[in-house]
Amino acid sequence: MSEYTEMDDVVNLDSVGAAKAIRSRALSPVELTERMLERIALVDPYLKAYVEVLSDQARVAARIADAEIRCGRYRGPLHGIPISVKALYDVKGVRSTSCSKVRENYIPEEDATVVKKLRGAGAIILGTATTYEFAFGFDSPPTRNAWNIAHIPSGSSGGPAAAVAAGLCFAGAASDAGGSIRTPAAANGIAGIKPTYGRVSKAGIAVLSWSLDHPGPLARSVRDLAILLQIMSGPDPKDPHTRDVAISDYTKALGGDIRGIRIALPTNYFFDDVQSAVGDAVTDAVKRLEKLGAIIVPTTIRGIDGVVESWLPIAIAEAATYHQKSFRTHGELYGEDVRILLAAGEMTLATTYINALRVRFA
Amino acid sequence: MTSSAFDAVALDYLAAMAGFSVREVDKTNVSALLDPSREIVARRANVLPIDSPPALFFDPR
Repeated sequence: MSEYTEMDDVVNLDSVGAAKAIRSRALSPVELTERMLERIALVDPYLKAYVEVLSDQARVAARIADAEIRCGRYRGPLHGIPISVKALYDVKGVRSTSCSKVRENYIPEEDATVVKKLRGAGAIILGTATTYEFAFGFDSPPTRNAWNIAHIPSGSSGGPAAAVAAGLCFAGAASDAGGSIRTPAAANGIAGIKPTYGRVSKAGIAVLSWSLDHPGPLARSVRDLAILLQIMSGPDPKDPHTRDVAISDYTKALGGDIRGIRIALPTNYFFDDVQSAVGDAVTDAVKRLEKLGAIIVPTTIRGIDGVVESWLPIAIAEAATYHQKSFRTHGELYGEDVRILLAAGEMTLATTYINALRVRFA
Repeated sequence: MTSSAFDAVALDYLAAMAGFSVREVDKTNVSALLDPSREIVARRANVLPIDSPPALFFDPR
């Protein structure tokens, strides 16, 4: 990513680039936020990435960030950076719908832990962005792909991914239970990471599956991801699955030497049904890593066949448990495909669920 | 119950037991989702040692 000059459009920067411009006072959080809001007004009617744009809140937060930075109270690389939040996350005082009629009028009284951490780091929440209903699918209607609105953005974090890719925010807080960060990142040509389970708190995020949900960031560059993950990570008393373990400084690994690093390259499953252009791009990246001195280790991933079939009973049985009460009282409010999945989750045998847990890492 | 995990009658019965209903149009879809996963999970589990426990979460330690 290029660094900012006044001739540049800020939408071409990543958040590290924008942060440098803010720090050097070449750009203010107010200017940055206004530019994002302008662009949202122009592009989002076609892209449909946002569920709700929080213009007033964002403008207030930007003015506060501006004042703090002018007074020398710079909080770090997310200070004054506009971001979006997947609509599964609780945002205090804002309709947090999970893109479902079931939660049409749900207004949380406090932020999800991740949202709180991002705000604490000075990020400006521009709005909530689409997901599939309760993150139940590999699409994010009505959002379109940032590179071609005839295509889908993938899902379930398609809203934040398309918004990041189209320059409607610098990063997105997302989540991944079965590809929901990774596939929208790939489909929209941005960076995303599914962090280790328990690294990022799930508190205040609607559950798809307790044991499969991984909140994580979407961004325009890997260096942005390092910063975002650093801020999002850490133990949280509200999420017993988080662990009080030391968190490395992820940014320290950026730009370093990769000579001698061993990288596993799966030889089975992953390339079986891949489009040739995608397979070629991965192969080119592998060659580049090898050229830079990494050691590529062809690896057979044991037990990968049938992984989706093993994933399914865990995901749907846990989802059906989470939704059980509202499914029985307001079943008609769920979309048809989600209703089928929830019914299937209710019908999953306990032995199938337990066996799926037995084979998941076997 | 038939060799399918849930035929329509069994689905109705189980759904009624659980306290909700599955629409006619959804029944085939529910069975189509459950049958292959039940089979594959059972096949994979059958090759595990009998005392192999469920792994609730990935533990990186």
